[in-house]
Amino acid sequence: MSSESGEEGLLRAIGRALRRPVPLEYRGWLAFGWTCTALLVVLGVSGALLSLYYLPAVDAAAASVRFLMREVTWGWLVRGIHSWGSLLLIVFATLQLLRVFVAGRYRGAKAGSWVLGVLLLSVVLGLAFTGELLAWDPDSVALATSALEGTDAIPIAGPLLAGVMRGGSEVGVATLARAHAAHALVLPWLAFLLLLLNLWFLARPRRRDGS
Amino acid sequence: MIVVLERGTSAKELDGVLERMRELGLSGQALHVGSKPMIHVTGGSTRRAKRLLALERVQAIVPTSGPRVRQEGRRFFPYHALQAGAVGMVLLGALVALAGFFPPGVGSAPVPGEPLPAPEWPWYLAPLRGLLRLAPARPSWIGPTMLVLLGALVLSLPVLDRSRSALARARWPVLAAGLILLAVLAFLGSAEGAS
Repeated sequence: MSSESGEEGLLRAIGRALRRPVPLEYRGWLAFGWTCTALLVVLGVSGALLSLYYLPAVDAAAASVRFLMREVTWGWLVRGIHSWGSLLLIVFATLQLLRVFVAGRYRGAKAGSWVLGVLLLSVVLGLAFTGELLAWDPDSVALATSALEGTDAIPIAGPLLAGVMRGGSEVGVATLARAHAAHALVLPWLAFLLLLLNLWFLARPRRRDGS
Repeated sequence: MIVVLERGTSAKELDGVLERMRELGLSGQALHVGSKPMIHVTGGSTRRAKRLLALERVQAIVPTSGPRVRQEGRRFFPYHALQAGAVGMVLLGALVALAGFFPPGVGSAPVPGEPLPAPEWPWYLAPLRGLLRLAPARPSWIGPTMLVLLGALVLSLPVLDRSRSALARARWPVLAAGLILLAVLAFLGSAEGAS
């Protein structure tokens, strides 16, 4: 009985959300928020497919990427979509923030949405960066080494943060495992959570003056 | 339509707005229902009423009828869901085309003992890398701290910008500062990419 009413409640909530009128400012081809959401979905699906073949081990990562690109049917396409999708997501998330900045939609009650947007862009940059490291070729190892040196130099929290990301005294197997965990587990869920919070912020009832 | 005035508008300023409305051939009456004074416009065209936005105390004009209201009343499903679906399909098509014409490269595993190449920063981090290069090398914490401060500055924008209007002319210092910062970052990014 209780689960039935729970289901009805959920269906009613979904119905209400679908019937909700969309404010003018969130529509049109320049409303990049939807584009970012769609790209996140594409990245989630293509990333899940890539994880079927990717091996997060220092001696096998590059080989698994090569196998995926050359042997797996449509593997090159899925990786291409994932790679280009992440770059486009950075572009559209930046454009969306710029649009909000130019239109001044970060003031007053929309301040929370601005903060969530900036955090989401940071998470997207983190996702793209950790994705670069997963190939584990000489370029990505050099990039990881340089980035961790930079993080190490941040006062107070830097050494701790760099230590957590490096997972040891030097860049190696633990670094790759942690980059993989961040890329496939931590950051995607964080992005999903921030996106949900942002949608809630935008969809909650507001007075006419925007407050 | 409703003309919304700024909070704290005096009776004299309200009379001034009503006087301007009469000059424009609009009729209406003042309402005192909330913290902000409002005028319910009962006669006259929307086109003329929009000229009231030029007055300092007028914050917004909210339509109560007409095509815009009908448009705003359109539900997410199916109207906007269809548009969103179309955007999604275009996006997916673009991604397939990009993946097909410009596939990502495949590297080889690093050989232990061999020196690593110079790190090639991805384009989206190049502006930040360029900013790091601007900082003096010693002490080494200055550059990363600059990045952290830049992030904090961007995050705290709603606190820093206290302008009461969203109009560009009311926020021009913030807009100018933001656009200059953007130009500097773009320049640093392109310089980093070229080096």
